Amino acid sequence: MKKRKKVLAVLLTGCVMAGLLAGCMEQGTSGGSSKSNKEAVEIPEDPWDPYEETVTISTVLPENAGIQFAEGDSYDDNPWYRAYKEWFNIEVVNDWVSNDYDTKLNLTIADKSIPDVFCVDAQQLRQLKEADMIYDLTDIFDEYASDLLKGYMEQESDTFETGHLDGKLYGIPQLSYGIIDQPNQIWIRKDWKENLKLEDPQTMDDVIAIAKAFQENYGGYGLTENQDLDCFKMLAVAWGAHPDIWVETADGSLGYGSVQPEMKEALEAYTQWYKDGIVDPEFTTKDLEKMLEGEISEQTGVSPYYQYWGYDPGPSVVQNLGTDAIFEPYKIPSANGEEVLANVTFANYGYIVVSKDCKNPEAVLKLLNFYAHVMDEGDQEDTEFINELFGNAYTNIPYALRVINPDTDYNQFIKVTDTLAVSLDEDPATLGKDGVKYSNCVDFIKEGASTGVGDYLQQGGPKSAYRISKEIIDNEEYIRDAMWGPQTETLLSAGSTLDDILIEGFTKIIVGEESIDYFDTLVADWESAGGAKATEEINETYGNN
Amino acid sequence: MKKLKRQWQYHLMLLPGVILIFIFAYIPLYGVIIAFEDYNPALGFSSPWVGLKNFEYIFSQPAFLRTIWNTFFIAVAKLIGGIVVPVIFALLLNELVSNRLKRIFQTLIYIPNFLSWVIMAGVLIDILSNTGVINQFLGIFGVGPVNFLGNASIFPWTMIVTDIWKGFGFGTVVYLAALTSIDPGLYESAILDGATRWQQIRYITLPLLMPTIILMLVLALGNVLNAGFDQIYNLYSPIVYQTGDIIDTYVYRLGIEQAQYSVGAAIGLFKSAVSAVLVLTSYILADKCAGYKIF
Repeated sequence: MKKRKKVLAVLLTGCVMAGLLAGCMEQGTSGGSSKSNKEAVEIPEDPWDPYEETVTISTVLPENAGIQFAEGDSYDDNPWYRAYKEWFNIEVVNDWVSNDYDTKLNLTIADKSIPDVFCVDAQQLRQLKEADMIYDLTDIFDEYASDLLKGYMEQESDTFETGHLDGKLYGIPQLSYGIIDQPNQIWIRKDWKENLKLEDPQTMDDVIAIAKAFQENYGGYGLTENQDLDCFKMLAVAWGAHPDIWVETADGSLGYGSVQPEMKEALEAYTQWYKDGIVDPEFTTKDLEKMLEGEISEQTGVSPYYQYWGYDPGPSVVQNLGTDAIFEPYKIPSANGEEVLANVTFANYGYIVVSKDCKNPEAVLKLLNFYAHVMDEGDQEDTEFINELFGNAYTNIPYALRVINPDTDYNQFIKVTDTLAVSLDEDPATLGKDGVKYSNCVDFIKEGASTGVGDYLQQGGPKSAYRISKEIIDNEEYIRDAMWGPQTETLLSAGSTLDDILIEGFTKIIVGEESIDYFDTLVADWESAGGAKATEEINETYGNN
Repeated sequence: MKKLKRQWQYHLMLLPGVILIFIFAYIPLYGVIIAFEDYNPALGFSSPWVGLKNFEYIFSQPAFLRTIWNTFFIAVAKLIGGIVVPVIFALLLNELVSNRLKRIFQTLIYIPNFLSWVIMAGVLIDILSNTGVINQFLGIFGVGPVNFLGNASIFPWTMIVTDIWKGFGFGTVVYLAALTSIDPGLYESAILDGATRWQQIRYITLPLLMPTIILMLVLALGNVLNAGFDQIYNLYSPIVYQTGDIIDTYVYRLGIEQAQYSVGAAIGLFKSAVSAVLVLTSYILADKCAGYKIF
């Protein structure tokens, strides 16, 4: 009996050990999967020449539901990757494609199995640098970046600076499509406004009059809102308040826009609207999606919203209520007679970093040059080639291999609207990569296609979001976030907690649970929960003195 | 040792479970050191050591203490309701003469138990809205509309009632099963002695049901600091944080949404410590008051 037990114990121990070992070994092999290209390959002299020997670059990217793969194409084999191979003899391979990029990337970093090139946020950039896992790109950028790419960085030198740590370039900022996409508008339902013969709103009182007229004639409520107070925060600029960004206060120091006295004024007016039944009485239980449902179910016809109303909920509105039921954008008018300045925040999609283990980091720069080239100088290339790269939302594939021209949207808007003004029958191919936007607008104008309503209301229409925003940018009617760069330490760790406190407090005031004087208590609470410390840090990092 | 010899087959069967628990529950315990570090995923467990700084931070947050109270209040109310309601229902169903009817009711009340809170929340938001079924019904009597999900003083009760409503089918089935195991002879002799229906319940059914009730209670006590993340996360909003924000939703906003692993781990560790004390206390109480022991 005793012997048998011993045998059993040995057996079981063996099983457990084997299991553990198998686990360890698996981990050992998975780490080095893509690192087949260990030797550096000789670099050709001309920057646009292909390598003699194939260079393999590994990367990772998030799944993107918008991508409509043509037959035979996939994340691993697509026009972009084929072009890389053809132009430079660079083979790009995906270590993984995930629908939960951030979590997966954090795990990849923790596991130390990072790919050659990938895209990170400011916090991860710092962490990777501290762990000494990424390449110092300072020299390589100087040597290999094209003039076009360097031009973007000169234009956005503040953003470029945020990619530097200890004076060295560790992350190349991806920049953004431009600040033209930042100002918000008031969106008003077209057919209701026309039926009631209402004028375009010039003041905030006009907006409220329109909301009331809609309520009287069509029922429901006047203004949309949700539990995060997005609409209120968008409207607050009308009172000179600048929620969610850092601004210069009366005494010259920097302060958080959401806790300044102007915010109290905005809040007071908004509370009155809620009391009068103009603001959605059930906003506290609605998230953004639920709020948009109210527009599709004809509960309301006025909504302070982002520039992309035409993309969401635009198509649903057109499909359910017809083309005349679209909401059109209007500039947010002043509530107190003073100039309205839109909020503009630091915009950078992410930082491109290169692993220390990458043997040919200059290859990454070549691919970045390629993206800038086809993006801005695409007219020098074959139209079909360009259409292949830019159709089907394929621009999301080179996720970590692109730096975006910060004037992209601005220039696109001019090109699309100028062409529309000439004729509706131009050949979209002549517009290069912007041809798709143009033809979508034409589709909406001619046949009311719901697929075109987004581009029409963002750019092509006589009342379009970018038309308003371009004016705001040309006339400099905006205020830049004083925090023009990454968040400071307290904000990184407690930022959302601090904002939570304010949203909760503002909501209490709006629904009448607390009087407007509670605002001062709220600001004190915010300061003691970390707001005061955050303000101090911001002044240290971004202040003048 | 002799006992072991006689029962070794049972121990063998127990072994895989023990090994799994050891691997997946005990080895990862090492990870609690994250709570004492300024965790950087790139550095892993060798991130800088900060001692109790993360704990100081969470206790400096005014919102933290209220989340503990909210968690406790909602969880305890759910616990009590989650026992009283199914017991009453089981007793009522047990009195039904028609077996068919009994089955139908049993199935009907069990159904909500199978729906996930994500779906349930969508349904509840519509039912409980100002223009929803419940408020229309209340409107007939001139009450309301009551803002069930947007009023801080009502919200916790909405959570408690809906959670009990969703889950009481399961408890009812368990108690019904326990009821059928009661010896019918006891009732027969009670009737001979002239006991009324009420007296039969009071002196036969309830005492014999007690062990099951206590078992369910002790099992539930391990969850006393889990006030129902998936339910509350899907139904709450900033206006009800005051009374509806629980530890888990707070950790989620703080830890996951902002990737502050260390702070999240610190709160998680704190919660585990408090839970351990509570479970231990309840176990001792169950032993002292009802003579019930698991081990």
